[in-house]
Amino acid sequence: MRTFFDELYDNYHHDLFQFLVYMVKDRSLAEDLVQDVYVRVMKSYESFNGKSSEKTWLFSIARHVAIDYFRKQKRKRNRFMEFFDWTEKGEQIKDQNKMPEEIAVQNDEIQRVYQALDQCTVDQRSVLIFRFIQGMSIKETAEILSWSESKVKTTQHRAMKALKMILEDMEEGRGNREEA
Amino acid sequence: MKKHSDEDIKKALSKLPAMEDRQLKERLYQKVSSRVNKPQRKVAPWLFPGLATVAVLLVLAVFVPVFFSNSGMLTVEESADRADQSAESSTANEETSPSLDSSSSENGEKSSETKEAEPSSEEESLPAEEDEEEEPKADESKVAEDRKAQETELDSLILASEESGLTTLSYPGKNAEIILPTVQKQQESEEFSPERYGLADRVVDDLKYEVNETEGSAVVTFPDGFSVNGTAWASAIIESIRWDLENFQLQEISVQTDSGDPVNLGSYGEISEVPVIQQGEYIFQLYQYEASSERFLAPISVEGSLTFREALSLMKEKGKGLYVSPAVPEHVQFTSTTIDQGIMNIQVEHESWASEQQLLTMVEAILVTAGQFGFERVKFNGMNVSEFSTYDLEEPIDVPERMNPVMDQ
Repeated sequence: MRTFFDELYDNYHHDLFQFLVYMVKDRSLAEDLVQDVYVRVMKSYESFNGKSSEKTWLFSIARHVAIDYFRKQKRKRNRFMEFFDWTEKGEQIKDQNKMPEEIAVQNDEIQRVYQALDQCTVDQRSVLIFRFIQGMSIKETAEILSWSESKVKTTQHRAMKALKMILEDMEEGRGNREEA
Repeated sequence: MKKHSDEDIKKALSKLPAMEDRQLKERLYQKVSSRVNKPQRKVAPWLFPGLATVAVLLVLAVFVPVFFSNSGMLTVEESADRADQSAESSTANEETSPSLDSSSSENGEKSSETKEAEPSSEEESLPAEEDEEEEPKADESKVAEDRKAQETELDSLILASEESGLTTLSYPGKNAEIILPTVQKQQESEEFSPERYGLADRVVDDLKYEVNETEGSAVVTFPDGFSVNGTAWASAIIESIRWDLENFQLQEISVQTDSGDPVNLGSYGEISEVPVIQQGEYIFQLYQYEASSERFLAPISVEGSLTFREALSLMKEKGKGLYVSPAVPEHVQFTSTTIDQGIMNIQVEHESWASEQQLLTMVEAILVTAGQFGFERVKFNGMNVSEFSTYDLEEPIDVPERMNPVMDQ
């Protein structure tokens, strides 16, 4: 098990952590989730059928770990909302203090892109991270997501469009505030 | 306002800084290996606190009424207290029921004892309700809330009550061997992402369905020039159509192209009709894609005409497909199946249940299979568990109308 862990860690850990941290936008949570990924990987290594590459398999598991996390959060949030019936206000509550220092030292545009990623759907965010932050090819992204290449292209197109709109909204909002 | 080009955004994304994991590799390995090698608990973590709670409640059940009757308190208060105890003990009982391990029969007895105790305490509290309704009502709602909380932790694969605005949409599994019918809310179905549930994309999205429920028929229209690659693909299309329309209980499904011609489905040749699902064609097992936490009841077609008992035995068999596993544990034996006044009675012999979830999944898979074999109600005998989840195994259970609800998206 140790050798296998070393192999995965040395080859993919950096990218794996990077993927999770940009998916969940929280370093300590990403540290917990990365553990979950390795635990799932170690437990299911015997069932790995070798049809896909190790990297594809690892990232596919990482993505499911992230999705499971979002779904659990959503369920918790729904229960909370039902209880207090604060739907409107609750949606608006955002933790603004979670910008990691690596981002905080970047220029405004990078910070806005980082924040805008949050507002894309999980699928769109996955594609943007794989394609442009991690520089994977369309083929590789499609394999990880178990999608067709054309679906990756479509999602990428929609993600770019969404990101543009979000950025423009953010800039417009900022402009309005400055004018006021 | 600045306009962003795709290139600007790509450049900005690529400039997002690398985030380093600050955990040391060695430390991470230790954490992972301790979780991987963690021995399975032999005793469930809630067992001792649960037993302690039951013991305390039993002591209270004995002493509190004695105390109140001695101190000459009003009957109203006494009965309210008892109702409260009954509520708590029923919750505690539900907490202990998932143990279902080697002492399952013992637990079964305990649960039936507690169950027997409930009506009597309710009876006692009933007259009090006439005088003062608020407290017992609060207790009842507490029981309902507790029960609901307990139920939500279990993963049910069927839809017990029919709601309006639901639609059945079938998806191939990732193995491309089986088709999994799901039930979704019509208004949410467009946002449904099969990938999140470990399913493949639908193969019949290009087709149009026209259902005439009065005549019991449907017409499925394929686009002109529709073509398929391979037998598996063609078979997935046919099965998807059959399961999409299964809930309408049709007599006939015709297929045609936009121009009204028969449809060329590869190795199936030109077809103008798809057979509707007949009784006894399928048993149900469990589908779960490797990395997904979602599970589905999977229809597995059976050959020849089987008796229901043969079908039940077949439900235990492995090897029905990749990512498919039996919903019935190996140790379960179906010693007899008899029909009495329209109720299918199943006599079950079993060893210990691994969990309440395992039992729930088995019961639901059997109910759905019974429904597929044309039965309307099923009574399980010899389970040594009387009440769990939403089911009362002492009574016949209606087979469900729908399976695999996916409605939290």
